[in-house]
Amino acid sequence: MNSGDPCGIFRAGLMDYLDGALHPAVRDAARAHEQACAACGTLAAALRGQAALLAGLPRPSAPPDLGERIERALGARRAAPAPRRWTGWAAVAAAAAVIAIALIPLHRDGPGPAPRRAVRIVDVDLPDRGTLLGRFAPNYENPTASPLDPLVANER
Amino acid sequence: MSQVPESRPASDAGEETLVRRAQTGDREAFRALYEKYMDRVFATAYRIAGDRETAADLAQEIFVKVFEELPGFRFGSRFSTWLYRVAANHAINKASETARHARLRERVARERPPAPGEPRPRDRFADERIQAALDGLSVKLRAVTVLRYLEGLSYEEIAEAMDLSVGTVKSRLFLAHATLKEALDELMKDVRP
Repeated sequence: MNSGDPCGIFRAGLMDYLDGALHPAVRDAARAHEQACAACGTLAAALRGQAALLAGLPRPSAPPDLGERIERALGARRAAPAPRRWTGWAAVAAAAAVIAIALIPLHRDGPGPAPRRAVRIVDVDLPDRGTLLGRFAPNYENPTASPLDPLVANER
Repeated sequence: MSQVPESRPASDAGEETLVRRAQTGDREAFRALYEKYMDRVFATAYRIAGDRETAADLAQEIFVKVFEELPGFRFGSRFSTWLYRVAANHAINKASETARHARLRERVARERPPAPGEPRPRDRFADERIQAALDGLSVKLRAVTVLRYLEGLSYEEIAEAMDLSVGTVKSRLFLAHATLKEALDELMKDVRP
């Protein structure tokens, strides 16, 4: 916006103008523009009218029982049972169960589904692009080998 | 604008004492606070949610929330501003759930023209039309408009309550005016003395 756009300047400061928040000199200039420019004058009048309509809406009173409802809600929160805390032995038992469940697949022997392998990702030096492409190419001699094998270390 | 109500709550020493007592869990002090602000909070919730029943539920939830969060209030702003912040945010978050009610209200307002010859000053019909126009705003524009014109907060207070810059508050208000123009221009002709 520049001084060649008085309507733009007026509209940019319109909210402050209508609130009487402009510096007196600026306010006087805005008032002069409002009176001289039909479009801006109409806009300012519309905003004043809207503000008057909105501010004139009656404030609805709260329902008479709102206080009781608040008291009941506060009382209910206080009366609500506190979350049950785990006692020491229960927490230990639960932790042990979780650990046991997690370890079962790692130590399964004998018949049954093939044992799952836990893998650990290790740091590797990234090869150059050509080597990398070769490494991830299909291994037709050993189709079960994973192209990711070089990037993992097995823990059996 | 001169139409903004001047009945804003003042934060005085007595209120600060009440807040400090309520922060320690003093229910009597908290009761005094909610009795003082109940109508304002309800009105804000009502104008944002557009539904009286929902507004009562919201006001109840807001005061429970205020009670719970009050210990964290550090007097960095007026208590009333902080309260409006909790109220407006809660109402905004829940307002989308009440959109159906708002649409219903709008339809009812449209379908109830005044009888021929009936005087049309500022009446219930006009108020419903204005509320319907408010309901037509996005909830963010509606909240700014309600806090400004119905609750009389300054731009700075709205900015603080809604965690916005003052410039954003002004631009949202300007946008709200532009959006309300069609609905309210016609009404202004009707109610103009």
